[in-house]
Amino acid sequence: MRLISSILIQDDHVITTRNYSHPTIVGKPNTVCTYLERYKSDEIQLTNVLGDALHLIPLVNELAKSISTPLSICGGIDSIYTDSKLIESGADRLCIEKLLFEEPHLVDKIIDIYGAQSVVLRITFSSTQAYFRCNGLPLKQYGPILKKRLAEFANKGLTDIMIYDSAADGLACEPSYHQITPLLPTQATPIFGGGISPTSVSVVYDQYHNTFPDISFAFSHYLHLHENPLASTRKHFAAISCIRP
Amino acid sequence: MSIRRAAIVNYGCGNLTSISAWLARESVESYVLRTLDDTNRFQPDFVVLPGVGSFGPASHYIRNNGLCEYLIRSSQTIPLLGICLGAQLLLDESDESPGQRGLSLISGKVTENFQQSGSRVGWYYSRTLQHKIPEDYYYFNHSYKLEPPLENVISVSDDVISAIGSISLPILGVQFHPEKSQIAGSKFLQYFLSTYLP
Repeated sequence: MRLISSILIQDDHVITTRNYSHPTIVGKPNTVCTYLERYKSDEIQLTNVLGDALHLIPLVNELAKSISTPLSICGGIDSIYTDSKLIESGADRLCIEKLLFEEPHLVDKIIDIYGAQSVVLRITFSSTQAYFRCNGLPLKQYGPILKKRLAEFANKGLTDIMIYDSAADGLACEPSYHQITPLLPTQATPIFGGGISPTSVSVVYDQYHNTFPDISFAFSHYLHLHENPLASTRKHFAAISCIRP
Repeated sequence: MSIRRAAIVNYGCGNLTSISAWLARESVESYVLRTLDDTNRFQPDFVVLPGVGSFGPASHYIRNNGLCEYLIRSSQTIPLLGICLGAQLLLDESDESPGQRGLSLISGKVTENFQQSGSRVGWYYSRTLQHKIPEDYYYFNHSYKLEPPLENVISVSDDVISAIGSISLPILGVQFHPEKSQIAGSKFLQYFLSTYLP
């Protein structure tokens, strides 16, 4: 199990949003990531909310020099050129959503060059309105197509799949994944994100830890509250051997 | 203490910035080795073969740019550290790219282990069988596993071989990413420097 910190970047600042709107500046990426490393974040996921991954290259470079936590990059991964620049700059993993939906053959190419372990597939959906954020299609309509595609990628060794409930904020709306998990292949290692809180982690873990070989959690909003959730969650799962102490 | 100098092999898909920053934190100066011409620039104290990517393209690049011969020759006297894919390249071949040859500095092959369970990504405890590589949680990110002869196995992590070494040459390969393993990675580098570059 990994406890992942998922942070949003806009104009070289870490921000929080309410469903990708109303951005509030939290701080400088270097400061925030250094703090997250101190809390033993297993991985840090950077998402450029403007969807321009190339814009993140100087930042990735700077972070790779100052911290030694695995970095995965989300948002705007749209070409092999972008991938090579990001990895050379210090990114360890590429989180792909648009290509999964629109150009899956390019995901194949990325696997061929960087290996399946370097790729995370991301599915952002709304649990309350039941649609995929990437293409706006209803879960029921596009779900079967996606399910088949995910199974094909799993057979190529690509099993890390992040499922992100954009409707959840962990406060007014708890995350719910039951509409998406049936789409995942049995060998998938899902990363649950979107409104994940120290409380919902336990609920989701109980629901799915017997279904998949490994599960992970991506904290976002809660990272910036006064009590960092990484330490308390790690403590909570201390008895489970699959989490580092 | 004198400044140590490392050559980092760039085969087109490595995480060079992370490796050089990791080395710099322990006062190791580094430069990038991209072609055979680069090897004449200065003499490194050790060579790092990093690893993000797929076996086939990496092997192809190393062979086509004369780096294969350089790595085989230099590793007779200069310590070589292979990381993740870099460790896999030390062996003869890989199921990931049939027909592509590794450096054969350690016999054995890289096999597909995770067809059923996918990639192995996360922090796993590495236990040492021989030598004194610090036992700790390291960051792993791989889909294929090392399968050298038992005598070359240095550390294990669950049922996966996490470190391999040559018996006669100063060669160490680790399946994990020490450059991404926070404090454990720093301790590992200190171990490597004190053991291989006393």
